Amino acid sequence: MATVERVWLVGDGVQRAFWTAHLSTRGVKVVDATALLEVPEPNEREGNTQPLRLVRSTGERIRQALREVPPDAVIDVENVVLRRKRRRLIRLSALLPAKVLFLVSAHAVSAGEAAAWITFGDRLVGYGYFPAFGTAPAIDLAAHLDTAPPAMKQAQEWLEGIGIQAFVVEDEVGLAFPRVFSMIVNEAAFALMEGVAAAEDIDRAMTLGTNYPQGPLRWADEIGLDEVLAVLKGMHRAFGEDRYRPAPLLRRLVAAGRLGKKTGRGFYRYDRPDDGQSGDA
Amino acid sequence: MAQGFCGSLDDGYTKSSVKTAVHRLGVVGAGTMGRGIAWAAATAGLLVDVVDVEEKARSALLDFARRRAARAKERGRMTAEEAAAAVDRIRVHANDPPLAAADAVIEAVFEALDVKHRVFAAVEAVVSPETLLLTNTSSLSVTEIAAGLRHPERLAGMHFFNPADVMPLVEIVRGAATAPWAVSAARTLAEALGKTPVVVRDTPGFLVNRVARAYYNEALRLVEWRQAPLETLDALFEARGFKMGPFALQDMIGLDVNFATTSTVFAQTFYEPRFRPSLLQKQYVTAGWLGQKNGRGFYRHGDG
Repeated sequence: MATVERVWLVGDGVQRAFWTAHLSTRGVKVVDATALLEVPEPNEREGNTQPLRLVRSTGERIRQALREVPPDAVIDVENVVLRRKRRRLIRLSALLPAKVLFLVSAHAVSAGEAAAWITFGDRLVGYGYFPAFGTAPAIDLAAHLDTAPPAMKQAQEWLEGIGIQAFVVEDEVGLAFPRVFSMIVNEAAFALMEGVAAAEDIDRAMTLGTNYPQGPLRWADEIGLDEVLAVLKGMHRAFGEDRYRPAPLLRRLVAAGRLGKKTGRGFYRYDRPDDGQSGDA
Repeated sequence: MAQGFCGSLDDGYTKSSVKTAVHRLGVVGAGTMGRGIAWAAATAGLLVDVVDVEEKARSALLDFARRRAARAKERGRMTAEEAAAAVDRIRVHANDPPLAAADAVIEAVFEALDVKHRVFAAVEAVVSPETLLLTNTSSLSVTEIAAGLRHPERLAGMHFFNPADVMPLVEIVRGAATAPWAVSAARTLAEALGKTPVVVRDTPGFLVNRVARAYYNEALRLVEWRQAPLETLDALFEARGFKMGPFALQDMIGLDVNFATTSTVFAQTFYEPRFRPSLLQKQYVTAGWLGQKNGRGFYRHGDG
């Protein structure tokens, strides 16, 4: 089975830090292909006097990277801006040889939907990951209806080889852990919105009353509220059930740019972005 | 422990006649919750009067207290004298009159509105009008329980988690009519029992049972949709830091208890779809597979 020595990481999402940190300890070469693939959006191009040259230089950069660091696998970490995710995956699948494994985040679209976007979708395997503090590396892994068995096997063997426990589940938006966790956060957000209790009390109650490893609101702040909302919106869109509708408060916080720790404010206030200390609720 | 009762009340209209310091606690109902509450109070130095019409339940409560006392002694948490004194602080009674001397009375009887109404009507007949009244209900509306009282403002929810003498959390539930002083007094009592109180509004499932529904319901749905075997899901959640996977946890709680809680929250929210109970869970319950307590739930236990 082909091993994975070089990875192109694409997208801007919660799993990026995990893959970057973990793969570097395992001697896997990681290239951030996100910037490489950025082309101006149509509305951004307006007024640009040199559109052709821009596109050409993007192509040149990609070709150069392909010569220097040809990837064995692409890992996608985009959950929030799905049109970008789609565009990047389409471009990459057109550029890269058919043998390259595509490990694609299935938080907001199923692996099967993402596979239908690209050429050779049978090489695509879906995965899910939210950080959980103090735990060993573990992800949800899913083949879609048309994943080629060798691609799934390669993904499983590689992940096992680099010390990541993969829990195999069937493909569906949000897979297992991101799906259930987002529903817990959504309920906590509804409860907060309805004034059932204060944020700190909600977190305290869930850790003391049911032994959750962290309070759901603080945990969501660590992950990013936009990331939690992306899972809920993905499920709501795909399943069409009221059960999955995001709590209005969660939507409002994300709209206001209160994305959690990474922006300094979410359900809680933080002194500085990425600072371990929290302020008031 | 006495200093714990002297916390200032911030409600602005504290009635001077109100007994904010609880030295003597009445407990109605000597079941699983009642005995845990009684032992927690006795170890905190309170005098405890437990009322239960069932002789068997009363003696079982005293046996429970003696077992807990023996364990506390064994583990060096109490001296022999302290353990014996704690057991001695618990008195059991067949009827209500001994509750007349209580500073607060907590009800931990069967979860049915008519039963709770009868209990509080009887309690109100013997206690003074200032006595704090508490209900340990986990699924009924505190507002509705208080509605029949002569003094509904002195009733608050005080929801312990099982086992009540071990679990650190207590939800203090503010019913629509609950006076701020009653909330403060309940909070102070919880702290005196060594618990962490969290004040919540009187909404279906209160806080913990409500938010926890998502953990069970969504995991059940993953199995119903054939997305993964329940063993895989339990292993996954445990690998992600949850102490027990959702199915192992349901087996411990009891599938019937879990299903009843979900069904109640679903009905009380006028059928909010997030709380819709699982057909799979119902099937297990109707098959009699209730979890650890009868040898089979999602898993088989013991010889079952």
